[in-house]
Amino acid sequence: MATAASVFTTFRDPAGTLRVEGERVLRTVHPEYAASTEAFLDSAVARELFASGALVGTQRLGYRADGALELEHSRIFFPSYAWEWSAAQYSDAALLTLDLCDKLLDHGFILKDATPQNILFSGSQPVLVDLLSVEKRDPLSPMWNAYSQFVRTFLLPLLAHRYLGWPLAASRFRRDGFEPQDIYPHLSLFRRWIGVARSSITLPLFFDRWSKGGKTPMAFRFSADTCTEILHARFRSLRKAIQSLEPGKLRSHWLGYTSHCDHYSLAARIRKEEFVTQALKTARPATVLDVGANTGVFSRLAAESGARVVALDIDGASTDRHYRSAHKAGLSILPLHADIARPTPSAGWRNLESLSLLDRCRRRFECVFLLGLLHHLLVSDQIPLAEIAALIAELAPRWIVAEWIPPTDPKFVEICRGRDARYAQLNEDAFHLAIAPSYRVAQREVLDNGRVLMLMQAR
Amino acid sequence: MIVPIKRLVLAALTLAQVVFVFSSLERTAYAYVDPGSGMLIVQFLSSALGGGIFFLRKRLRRIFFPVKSATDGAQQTETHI
Repeated sequence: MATAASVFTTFRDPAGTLRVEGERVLRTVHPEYAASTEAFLDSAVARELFASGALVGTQRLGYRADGALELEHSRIFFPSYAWEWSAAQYSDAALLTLDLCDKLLDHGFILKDATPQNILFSGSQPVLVDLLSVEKRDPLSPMWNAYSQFVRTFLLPLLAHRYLGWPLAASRFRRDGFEPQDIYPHLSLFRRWIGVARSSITLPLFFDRWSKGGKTPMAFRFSADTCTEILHARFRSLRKAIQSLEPGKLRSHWLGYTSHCDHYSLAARIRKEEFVTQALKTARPATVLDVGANTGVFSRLAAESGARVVALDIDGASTDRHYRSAHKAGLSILPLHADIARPTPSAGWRNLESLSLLDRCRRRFECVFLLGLLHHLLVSDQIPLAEIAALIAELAPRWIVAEWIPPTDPKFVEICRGRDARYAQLNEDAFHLAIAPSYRVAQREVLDNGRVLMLMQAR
Repeated sequence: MIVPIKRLVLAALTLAQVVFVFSSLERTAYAYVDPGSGMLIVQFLSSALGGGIFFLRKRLRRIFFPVKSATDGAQQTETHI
């Protein structure tokens, strides 16, 4: 992990702090919250949630002299943020939050906050990592304190994405999500009153204006079983709302790229898969970064060979499909909607609360896939070969599986848009020359379409 | 049969009272609108509705499926609004 993370201690939660020291993730629970945390850790529901993987693994280290409780969490291999998730990941993170609340409810607990920042993905499975979000609930209150936070940070971004096409990546700028008044003016009259927007945008806005910001002391007291029933019904209706916002059939230029590509014959496609399979057998990487993964054909090969895979792609629809298939198959693949040419920057207070994409990628992967990517970096993003070599040196994998696309390739010509002369001198030798000081070619194969596949090993 | 109807009337009156008190609260103008209060009210009203439905459902169940034994009756918890 980057140096920044090892010195940063979280500060928002009054119940405790979290810090990363090297490979260890350590949590300090302040003395006044230690007993309630212990009570939860000892409960049957906690054991069930740890076993299912819905809650991050936690070990008790003991008490400090001042009475603070020290815990250690299992390390999630690759932290990701909501602004890098596809709609399906965002939706699954929301559903996990509701599922956990539903389970905790019957055991006298509930989540005191509900935000995507408390969820990470372990492979393709969402995990709640903020243990201190769990608190004892008031059995006679039917209100969920985190309700509005859930609506602001989960429901409204998904709604704006579904109906208005606002990117989920915008959540990077809105730590506390969207307010109803942010979205209301952009919705049609029909949308305002029919479906999820009525109870999450239109009515809250109406009541906001009605109460004019005055304090609204609302303390309902019902019997315990009535409260449990009401809260279960609330989680059920929120679950339905989230599910209703799942994107329909997404259209994207990139979706049929692998299956319908005319620049690859069936034979060449099979050869490419065989080459990657062979390369994985030679390299046996435990960790793979697949850059430009599309819907994940090669990520899947890597995951099936036993590697933990992080897959990046600039197309949200492809990332969405990739995640769904990996999640369904239970593969250890984390697809992220991110651009290696414009990597996610660090964010939050003093730029320390969340790490940049490169901070998380540096020296984390034994193998990097650069398949069908180099021409996009060279031409579309106008990155020189020397800079690509510098990025690879930063990532420092032991192995690279790369595909060289010659300037005569139809896809290369397509993105050149008349700038062919500028790239006329570019050839495979230039690529080797740029990368040669650090890597040597271990395996190489020229496909029938002129593209070249390479397995390269660090010198 | 008489008891549930009595309770229903009582519940309706209490609910009306809650709504009346709630709607007669002094409305203070603040410099900015508290972004959470609208959603709080929505949750409050849906809780009231949920509570009402739960209350009615229990009563209707009692009408159609009368309590068979004393033990069963003891398990039925009263709803307080």
